[in-house]
Amino acid sequence: MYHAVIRMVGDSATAQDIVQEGFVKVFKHLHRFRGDSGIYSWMKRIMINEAISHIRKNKTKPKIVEADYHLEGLTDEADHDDSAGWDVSKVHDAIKLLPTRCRTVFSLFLFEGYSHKEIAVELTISESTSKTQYMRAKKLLRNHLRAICYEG
Amino acid sequence: MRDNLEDFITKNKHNFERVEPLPIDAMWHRIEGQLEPRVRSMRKPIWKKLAAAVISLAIMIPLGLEMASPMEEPMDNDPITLSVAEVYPPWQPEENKYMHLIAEKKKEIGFDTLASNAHPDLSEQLRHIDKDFAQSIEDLQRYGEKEAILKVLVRYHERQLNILEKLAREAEKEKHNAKPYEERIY
Repeated sequence: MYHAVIRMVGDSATAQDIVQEGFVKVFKHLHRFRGDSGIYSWMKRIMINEAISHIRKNKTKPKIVEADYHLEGLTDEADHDDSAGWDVSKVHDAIKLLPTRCRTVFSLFLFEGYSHKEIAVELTISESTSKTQYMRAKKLLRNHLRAICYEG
Repeated sequence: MRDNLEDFITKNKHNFERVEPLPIDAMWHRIEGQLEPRVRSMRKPIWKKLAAAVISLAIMIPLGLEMASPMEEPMDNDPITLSVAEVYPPWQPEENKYMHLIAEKKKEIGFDTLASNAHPDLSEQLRHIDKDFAQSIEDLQRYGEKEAILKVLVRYHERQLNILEKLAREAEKEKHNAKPYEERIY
């Protein structure tokens, strides 16, 4: 769940703060956990909510992304196999480089299994915005990965 | 063309949960500092053990699932009877890993006791996956493209896990919404 938070907020120091706050809440409210669902799911839900809350509090205007980046022409697939040189660590680092909103949508959708509808509710955005952000995330991620793998 | 980025992440999902080490000791000291002094002074040993156990549990569960012995037999209470390994024995360790993950997730959400009409859309999706899965096993016996078919089978397992994760969240939400407002922390 620490990694779920890192992927959402983008840096380990902030993630540690959020996990710390999350655990304090877990301990304070442990008596409310009735045991009829998995404790791991319950705790992870708390951590993810903490991360979403942090992102909302620190909401900034979306940054202007790379100039070669056009939403109209955006596809979410590679036109060739560009996966040579990828490893978990490089992909993880590239995810951390994504803009906040893209990264949050990407993490919730692909790692946590949220639907775009659920993401829209959690982040108070529209479902189509969630889908667009997801495609943006994948496109940017590929660019970051190309750069990271090229640098070696 | 399949999306190789999604495939890569899906296939390595569990490795993404341990890519950066968490400084557990430092983290605990910080958490301890934030807990109520009364709790810390009166019940420190038990409290500390409990806290350490909870943190360890939270950190180790994904790792434990990932490292679940690949040679273990699938759990007896797993209702899934479709077996790839029966037609393609080298798949046994991979299949056991997924069977274990799926069984754990089902156990966690009490899948077997869920009402049949609860979350009909998700149940329908699971039924579809089972059908597609059975079809792929037939394909596996019939055709030579084993690698490609096995990739598809991995996707089915992952989709099954995703749907079970959604069911777990739905159950959480229902419980949360059933609580009086003042008791809701999330």
